[in-house]
Amino acid sequence: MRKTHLFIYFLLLFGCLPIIAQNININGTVKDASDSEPLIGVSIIVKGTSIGTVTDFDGNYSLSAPSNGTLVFTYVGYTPQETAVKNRKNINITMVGDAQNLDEVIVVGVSMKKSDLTGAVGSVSSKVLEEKPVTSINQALEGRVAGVLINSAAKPGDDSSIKIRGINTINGATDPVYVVDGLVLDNFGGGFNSINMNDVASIEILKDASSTALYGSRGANGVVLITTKKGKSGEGKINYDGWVGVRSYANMPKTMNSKQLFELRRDAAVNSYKANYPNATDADLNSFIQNRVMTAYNPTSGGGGFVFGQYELDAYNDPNFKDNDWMGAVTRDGIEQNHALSFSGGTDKGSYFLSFGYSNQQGMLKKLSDTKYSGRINADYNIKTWLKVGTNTSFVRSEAEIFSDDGVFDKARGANPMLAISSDILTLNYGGFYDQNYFNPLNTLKIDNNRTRNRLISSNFLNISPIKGLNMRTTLSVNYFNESGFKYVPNNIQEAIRYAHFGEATHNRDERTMLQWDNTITYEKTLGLHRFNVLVGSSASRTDRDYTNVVARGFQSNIFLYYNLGASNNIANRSVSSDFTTSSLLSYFGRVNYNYAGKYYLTATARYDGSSKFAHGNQWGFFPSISGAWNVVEEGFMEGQSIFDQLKLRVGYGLVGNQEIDDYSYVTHYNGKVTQGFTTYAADDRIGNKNISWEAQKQFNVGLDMGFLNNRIHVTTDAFSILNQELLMTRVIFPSSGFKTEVVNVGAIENKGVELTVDVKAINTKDFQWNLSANISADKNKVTQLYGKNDYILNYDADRNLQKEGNLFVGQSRNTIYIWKTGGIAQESDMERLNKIDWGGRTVKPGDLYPLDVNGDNKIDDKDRVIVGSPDPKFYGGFSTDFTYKGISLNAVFNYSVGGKKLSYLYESMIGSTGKGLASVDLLDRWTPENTGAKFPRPMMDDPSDNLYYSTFSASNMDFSVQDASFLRLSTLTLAYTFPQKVIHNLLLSNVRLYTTASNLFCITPYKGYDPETGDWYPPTRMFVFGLNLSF
Amino acid sequence: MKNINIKILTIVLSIVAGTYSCSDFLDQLPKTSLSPQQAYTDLNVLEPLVDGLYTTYANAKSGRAGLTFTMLGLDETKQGIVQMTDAGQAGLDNYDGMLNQSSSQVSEMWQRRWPTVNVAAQSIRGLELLAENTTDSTTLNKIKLLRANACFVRAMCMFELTMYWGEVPVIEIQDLNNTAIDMSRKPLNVVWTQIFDDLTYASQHLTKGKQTGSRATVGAAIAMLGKLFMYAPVESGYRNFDTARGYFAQILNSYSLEPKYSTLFDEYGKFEFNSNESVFELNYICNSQAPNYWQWDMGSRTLASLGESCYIGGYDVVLPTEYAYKMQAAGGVWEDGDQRKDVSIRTDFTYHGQKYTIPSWGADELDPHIKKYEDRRLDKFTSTTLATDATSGRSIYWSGKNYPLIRFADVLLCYAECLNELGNTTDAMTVVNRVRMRAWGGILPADKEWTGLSQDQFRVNIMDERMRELCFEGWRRMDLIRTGNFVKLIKERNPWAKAKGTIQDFNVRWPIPEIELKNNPYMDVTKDQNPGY
Repeated sequence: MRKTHLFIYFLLLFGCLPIIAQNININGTVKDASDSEPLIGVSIIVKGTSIGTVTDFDGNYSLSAPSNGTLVFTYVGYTPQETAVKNRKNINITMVGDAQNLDEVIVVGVSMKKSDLTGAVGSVSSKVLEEKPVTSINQALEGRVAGVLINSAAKPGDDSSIKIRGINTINGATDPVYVVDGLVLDNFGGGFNSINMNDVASIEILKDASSTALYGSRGANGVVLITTKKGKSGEGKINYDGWVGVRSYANMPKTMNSKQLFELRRDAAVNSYKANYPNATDADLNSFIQNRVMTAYNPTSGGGGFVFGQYELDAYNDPNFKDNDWMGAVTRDGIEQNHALSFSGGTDKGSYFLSFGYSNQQGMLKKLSDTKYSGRINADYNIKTWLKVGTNTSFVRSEAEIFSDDGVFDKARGANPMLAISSDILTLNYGGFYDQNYFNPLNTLKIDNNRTRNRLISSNFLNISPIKGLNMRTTLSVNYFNESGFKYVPNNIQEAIRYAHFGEATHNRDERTMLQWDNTITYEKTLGLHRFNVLVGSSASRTDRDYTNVVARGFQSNIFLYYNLGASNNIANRSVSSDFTTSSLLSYFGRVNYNYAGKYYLTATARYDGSSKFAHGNQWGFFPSISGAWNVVEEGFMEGQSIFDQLKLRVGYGLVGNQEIDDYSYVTHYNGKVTQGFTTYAADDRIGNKNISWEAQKQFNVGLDMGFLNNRIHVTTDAFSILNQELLMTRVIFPSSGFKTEVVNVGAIENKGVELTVDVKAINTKDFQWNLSANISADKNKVTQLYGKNDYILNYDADRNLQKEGNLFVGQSRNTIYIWKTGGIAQESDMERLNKIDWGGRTVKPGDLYPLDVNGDNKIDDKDRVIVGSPDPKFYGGFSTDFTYKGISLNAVFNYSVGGKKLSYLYESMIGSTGKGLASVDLLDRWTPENTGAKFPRPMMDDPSDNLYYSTFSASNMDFSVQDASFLRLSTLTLAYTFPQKVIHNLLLSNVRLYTTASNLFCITPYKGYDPETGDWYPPTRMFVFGLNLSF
Repeated sequence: MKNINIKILTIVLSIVAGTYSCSDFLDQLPKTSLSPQQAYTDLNVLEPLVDGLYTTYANAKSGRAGLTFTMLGLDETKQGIVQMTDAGQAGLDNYDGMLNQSSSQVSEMWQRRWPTVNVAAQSIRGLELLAENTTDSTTLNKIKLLRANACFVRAMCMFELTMYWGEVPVIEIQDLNNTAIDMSRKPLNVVWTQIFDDLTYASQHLTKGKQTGSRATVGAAIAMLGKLFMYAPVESGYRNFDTARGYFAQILNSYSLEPKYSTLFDEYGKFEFNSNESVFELNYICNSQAPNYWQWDMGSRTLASLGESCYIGGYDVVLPTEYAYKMQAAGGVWEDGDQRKDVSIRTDFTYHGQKYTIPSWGADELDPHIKKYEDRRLDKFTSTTLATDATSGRSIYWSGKNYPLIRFADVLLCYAECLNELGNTTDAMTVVNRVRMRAWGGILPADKEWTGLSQDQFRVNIMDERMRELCFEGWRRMDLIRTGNFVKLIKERNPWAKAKGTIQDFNVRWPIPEIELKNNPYMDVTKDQNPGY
């Protein structure tokens, strides 16, 4: 572009001077018709001459042209325009994107126009993606699209989860699929994370049946359509994007210091004594405190007190004692960086896009990191006028140090602040009591756990166009993934001693290859105002997976780490395992798009899918869908109205299938097991069910797209109703069958919701622009049918305890919290009433928390449990604001969620603490006979040493600790500066942008654990990023 | 150009339509496990499958929901204080409203036995079909042997199911391709007839001689036939002490009592498959492959807090009742000089030179505990030559001494009981004295010898003798049920049931779990529940 520019100047200055006299000076601005963004580098030529110029960075141009001449505006990707000068001195032009190029998305083995998608589709352009320096697509989508709920990853390297339009399956995953340039990609092995964000040109979220219809079986949870960047014809481009960020913990709940913790524990022990011996004299109490509380426990004899260790008493008595920061000993600032370099270009024959990427994340926890190397080539070429070939191929390698054990963080976080930091002790403790499972996190960090992943995604097509409008395309894709995990646990840390392996090396190799072959024929024809687009096609895919796992135990020294399995000496306890699976899918599909005069759109799709997950006879399912759109503004009666620039009504109905169950679920498995030196076979817990077939979703969607005030306000709203029937569910079956579970088509879930997106160009002047965007979604799911005679199914854990979550009830959301309601803290005045209640083995006295006897039978049992809420939010979404003043832009993205309830395991344990573990400062307001209005009950050491056996209800037994997980988060705040063209011109640069981004600057929430969104595994993090974009 | 186009068009169209017409593209079968077709039609596969029945049967008895729960709520055993905080589990001792069809403990016990019954039933049918298609005598003998083993294990499971729950479904498979059969509760006579037929077949075709590995031998089937005629309820039509006596008599010379009671339960498991007294034992291994986990539930928490590799530690799920550990003078069952008490019950909590006297949590943690299943091979102080290191370390969790399910001493006591029921109390006492003699180290003091008991007195005393000889070996619940002593003795001797006072006659059976009633198309949620629940 640069050379053309100079060349034209050259022409203007020298070659064209003689004509100037007849000319007038014309200036103006060229903008994009769809978003009014200035277009840079549009070439403007006076028709029939070689006189011309290009627009500058702000889309402005000026040139001299004959007053009766004609100007020709051309720009790659846009329809050329001509306009007669007619003596005008100011000519502003809006250019319309050329649908053939910019609008193209690759669906499955076929490219189609975005505007032909008549269903509910949310889009995110690369411009929006640039505003947020993140490494994964799910993170980029956070708060951006109505109907899409993203849950951020709890710790670096984890996946953010994504859910489109609520919950539509009963016990399967809610992950959508990604379709990357036509290749269907699931999240196996971090598939979603493996895409280099810098390669992404645009993302479409397909939400309803008519838009996902072409994916049939795979689209039940929605489809995230990803189009990667292509080269554009014209001069080659070089682009560099790099950023460096520093990550730190954003929120840590306040915890008690040593002194407070000590006093809490002392109170708990004394309370327990008083409760058990209500008639004890002061002398008894004093002697108890003297001998059993304030005397240290003797770990060798088991004698002394039972509350504190000597070191804790010492710490308490030392006025200068400083808390030990175990967390500080295992954490660091997380430094992340990302660099991407790309080259692109093209001619009318073909185009190329090459990119290289490098990213490195240093976790905040020591020994946690991820380094990625990636490369991509997207190329296509017109070999003949009727033959085009191309490839979209990328490779990613990731080398990560993953958590050796999730315990590192938890154990350091919960460590006793009175305990001196040292790697010499094998285990940590409270009160000096030995706990063989309380591994010293400093030693756990000595475990090596390395993982490498390689992924090759390659999609290659051949397109034949024998006559105009007819395209035959065959695409062969491969998604190859391999992962190696290597772990070594040294022989001298507590893990090795505890599990008596004395050094353990593990190798795990996992490989998965998915091959996909798509063939399509499309024919496009315009007859007057009628436009048809017909497609027939087939798609076949096969996925092979295998893994090998080897564990060797017993190492004389730690020198070899995991490198030499043969050097292990505990031969009897070596172990090996492997598995091989294959699954396949075969589909035939057809689609007709019809469009009359840009007013009426109709899309009908049918798909016939076969899956290897079902038995012969039940393998095939038929999934039709139909949708239509009515572009009202194009109607004659709308002529002359000035309210709507756009008014488009969309309606769609369709059937989508789902087959996301384990491979081979239709057959009963008999597994070989070696237990006593020889092989025996035994049946699996799951009985095979030959009758299972496709799960069916009936989806109805109605939507409206509106544009007002010259399209400065744009509103999209959708309402949907999804009925999921014949759900593939792993159900419990009657035990006398000899099996525990069976996969069956039973049950139903309905899911209804509305979505609204508003985009506003509040200010739109040459120097100053302000854009606002907001979206809100509300969806509600309800289990309408379960199996057999069951109107509820309760969830018990392995120890046969009824769980608070995971229970299913007809008429309720799939996700519920089922728990006792809080009665309150018992006071002296309540005792007459409370004494009548059978607490089921627990005790309630003044100062103790008690659950409500909901059914009034004077007995607390499972029948008193109620559903107190659901983790599903009532509504959620995001909003963003984008100011641009000349080269400076400030962009903020917020996301929010309202009405969800959540269990906070962290907070539960912190307020249930009796000083033998992490305790919340909230417990400073605890019940005493003097402070009866306290918010928290009196602490009680439920530790019947000395017959101090007193079992109370804890906060976690009832909804006392259930948290409101509503929040408003400033997800990202970006300040960027784009250098003026004038400045960078001379440096031969076409674009220079500097930016800084802060992510998660604040989060307003009543939630008391780490984070209402990511939960309590790891605290939320905050990152500051500094980045640079350069284009040549 | 046009021709080329047409050719290309034809090729592509045929690709689109025709490539995948071979539909086996979609037929995928597991590669690392067998399908039912492969499992039941090939003798080479059926053999490990039948051996697998012993594994699953042993697994069904392992852990808390295995042997342990069947021992709760008895006159011999009860659960510890801390365990009683689990209201559902407490119901097993309290016999209160918490013992109901939603009891997850009962449900788990019910659930565990059926997989073995089901695979056994299909194996038996598979073997029958193979037998119909072969004339080779070696093959036929092998088929019969395998079938006998499948019959034996099925009978063992069904025996327990019907003793604990009464009428239960009976699985007889006719068509391997259609295993969806009538699974309604069948009358007792039908249930016991299947057990009788299975044991009879087993007694004819099992290997003769002593058990050397997991598989049972003829003696075990005969002993069980004897037990069948003693234990089956009268309504089944199978209660017959003379027939029972006849079966026991067949094997009186095949086994002998070990000279010392203590060797039977030695803490290093050296006697596994080596005892002359073992009629049938279940094979466990003290590592993560095939443990019984019992020490975890039977040991003391105070000691468990020293770490999992203290072999007497545990979590006090099942403890002896006072009746089961006290001397007669103190209201218990034990007599002076009976060596069985110290072998069966731990009263001393000295470990590695340290005597533990202060309970860490529950007040009963240092009360007498079950000692029979302590497994010293997993203790951290055991020398490597005697120890077994599991993949996950030395832990009482992996405890795995063999379980002597049928001991010759039991056969003798059953035989004596039959004699007494048949009116021959004198000979019955002689047989009991043979067992008691060993208990006193080979010389039975005169005052400990049984003489001159009436038939009724014998009936009372034999229950105590069975407790002394066989305590914690899993027969007590059935003994109480079959003798009609269930409610009476439990109310008297189990502290929890005594305190609650709610135990009733209907409690001799456990409730049919809700999970069965609600999901079994052949059962009705109310009509098919055991009375009282």
